[in-house]
Amino acid sequence: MTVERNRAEQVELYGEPLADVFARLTAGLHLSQAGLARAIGMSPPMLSQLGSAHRVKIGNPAVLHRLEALQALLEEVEAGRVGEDELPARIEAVRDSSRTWSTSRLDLAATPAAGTDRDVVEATTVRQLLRAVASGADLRRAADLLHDDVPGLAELVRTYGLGSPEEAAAHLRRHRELF
Amino acid sequence: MGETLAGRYELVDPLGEGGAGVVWRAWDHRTRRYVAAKVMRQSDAGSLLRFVREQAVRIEHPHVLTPLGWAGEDDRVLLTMPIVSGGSAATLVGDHGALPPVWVATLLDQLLAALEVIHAAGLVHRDVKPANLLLDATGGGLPRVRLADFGVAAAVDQPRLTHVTHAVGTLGYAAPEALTAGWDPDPRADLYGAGLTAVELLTARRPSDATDVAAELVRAEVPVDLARLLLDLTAADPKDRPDSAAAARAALASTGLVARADDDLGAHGVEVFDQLPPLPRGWGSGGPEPAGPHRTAPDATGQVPDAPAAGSPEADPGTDATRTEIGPATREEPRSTRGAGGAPAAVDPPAAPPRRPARPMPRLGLALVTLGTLMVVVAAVLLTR
Repeated sequence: MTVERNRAEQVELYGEPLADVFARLTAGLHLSQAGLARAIGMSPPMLSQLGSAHRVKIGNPAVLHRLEALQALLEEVEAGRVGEDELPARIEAVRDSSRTWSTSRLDLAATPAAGTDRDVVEATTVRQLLRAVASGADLRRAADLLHDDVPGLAELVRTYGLGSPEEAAAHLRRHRELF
Repeated sequence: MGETLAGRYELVDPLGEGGAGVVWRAWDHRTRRYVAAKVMRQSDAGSLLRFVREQAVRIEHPHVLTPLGWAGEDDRVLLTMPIVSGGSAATLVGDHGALPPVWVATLLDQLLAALEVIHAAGLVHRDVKPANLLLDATGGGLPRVRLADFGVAAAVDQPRLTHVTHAVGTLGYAAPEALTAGWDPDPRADLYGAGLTAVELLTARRPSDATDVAAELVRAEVPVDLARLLLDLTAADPKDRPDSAAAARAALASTGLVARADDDLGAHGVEVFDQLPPLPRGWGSGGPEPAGPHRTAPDATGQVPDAPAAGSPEADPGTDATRTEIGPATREEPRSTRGAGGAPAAVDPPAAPPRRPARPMPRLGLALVTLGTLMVVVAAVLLTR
């Protein structure tokens, strides 16, 4: 089934199916599908094709970048660092952000919300960092390249870059004592 | 029941917001078809002048989108155009990223064909950019470009409409010479815009004054023949560009990249989607549906909801960041104080200052002078009220 294969490829590229990403963003940021499309600079028909996994990949790097910026914004909202009243302006800022790689910037979460597991927070930061500098496909290629010579590094890239946050946190927990 | 303008055009739903007004899908009760209607307030003298220019363009060509007609009522005017449903080339790049050379060559070929007839008619478009290349919703088939937005088109040898010398165009796409004072419209400025447009389609990066076109083309692995033509088109000196759109088109044809049929495009997964939202309740393909209880068109002063671009060159919320990055999509900047107190009719409302200095460095100074002039003109307008 093509759609299922496409969805699996989306998980590899983006960590989860894009339908889930879109649903979380529309709900958490109070956006319509068309509003989300507008904010990231993609047309509504394309958003719908990706959401239904009729297509796999976001073709425009600047669009992907804005999608990641909205995810970062959602995390800030959920952590209580951004109020609901600030949302429209913040979303507008993402929409208006520059389209070139060189000038756009992904803000990684700076301070963990109180009461969260330190391992999870730090593992998430590393995960975001890896995904900020390389696509899922890049990370997989890098892990494959490293596999024979430096298996430990390959595992690290694979776990943090392609695995779930839980897997990354578990990896960190296993290795913390070696620091 | 939607609002009806000029006893004829019933507004159905807003399709987008442009530099000079809101673009609506409207039902034309006389011809019984849907049209795109750009509604403008007459109080904005700048838009009105553009409107006059735009409605005067009458060119019949498969790749030129010209107005169907216009109407005025009370304080508003509207300009009607055929609805083009596939968004623009800017939408296409937003959806797909960098486009394959065969797609870009095909779009560029059609754009140059449009420029050929426009230039032959003695006009210069002056605002060639991806957001003004509207597309029919042809899916994965051979695309069809319709060059739109003649709001700033100018006749090559026609006396100026105002006493203020203008530089027009969109920063980033305007030819360097078009931004200097006293520039007379020259068709080769459109060739520059066409070249930069193609570069953006190939790289999915907006041009700026820092853009090294050659390096970008190498990085995007653009075929050498095409790259060479684009470098010629984007030459800083108009004398180094091809002589005419026809000459550029011939050079493009010799690259062998221009698709003439669906099969020539190859399988790249690029698709021009239908961007028109579904008709609101009470409206069908044959117009208003009498059975419907209430048609839901809001009045023309309402907010524009999130709607995809269609029918309007400026209405491209997805990928046309020109407005948001550097102010209005199209800027008209007075370049001379001559007549500033007399005829400031064509000055747009003050816009956000340019985000960056225009191409060569001396323009930073020019930009400051321009800004100063603009303020003087605005003051003059306010005082003479």
